[in-house]
Amino acid sequence: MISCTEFILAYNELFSFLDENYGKQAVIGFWEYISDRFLTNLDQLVGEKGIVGMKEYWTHTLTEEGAEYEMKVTEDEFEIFMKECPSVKILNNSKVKKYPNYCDHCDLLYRRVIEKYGFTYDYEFIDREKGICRLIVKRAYGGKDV
Amino acid sequence: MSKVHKDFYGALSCAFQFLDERYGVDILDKFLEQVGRNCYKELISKINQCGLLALEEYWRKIFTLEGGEFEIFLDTDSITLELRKCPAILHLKSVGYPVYKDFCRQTRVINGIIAGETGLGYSVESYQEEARCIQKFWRIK
Repeated sequence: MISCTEFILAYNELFSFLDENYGKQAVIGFWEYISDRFLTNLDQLVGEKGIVGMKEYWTHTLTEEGAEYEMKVTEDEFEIFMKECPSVKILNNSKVKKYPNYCDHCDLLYRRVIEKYGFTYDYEFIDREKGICRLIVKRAYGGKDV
Repeated sequence: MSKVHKDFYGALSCAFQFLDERYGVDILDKFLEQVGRNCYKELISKINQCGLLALEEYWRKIFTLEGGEFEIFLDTDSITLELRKCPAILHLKSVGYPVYKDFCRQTRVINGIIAGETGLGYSVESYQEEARCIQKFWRIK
């Protein structure tokens, strides 16, 4: 059984496996698939509660993953400043070869869920090697008001 | 302190489903073999250095951390894990995530790679519906 603590290594390996055998488009195809099929809990939370749902989702996941981060939540904005991404930390502490575009999955997976509910979604990769990034979500004009 | 984010099991199950649907089960196996070789290097190295004790230490650590119900039987030539409550399958079922039809395939393929890299024999009896399995490694005389 691939354990939770080993999952990130296998996830990273899958990105490399798909890219090496089928190209970058196959990796993107996987990210789209997992966003649509697996992030149903985030989809439901954002659909029902908007920004409050985002706060609920990421507070749960980032706490369980042991992330070091700051979260800012207002009525119209949601921001996560990731000081040390737990996934990147696991990869850096392992001997596996990190997929060069590993961080990109966070941009695609969550953007696909959030934008459809009338929010803008910006991802800034500050330092991919250290796992520092910033996610900023804003309510777009006419966006869902829940 | 180590954290356990059990929803990762759901993403894993989804990844297996994706590979099977898009590329077929042979490609899923090829991926799992790559995981075995690249992600379990440290465990393989420890088994080659310390023998079956390294597996005991690994299993005890993983299944204690993730909340499995298990027992390990070790003798001079073999080691057996009786996993009576698999934390992954029980979590998937409790949360309602889809469970890939052959979720336990990962254990059979990866244990095969570990056995091949360490010169051990191996067997896996998996009972996915019952969330349990029996994994065994033994020295080949």
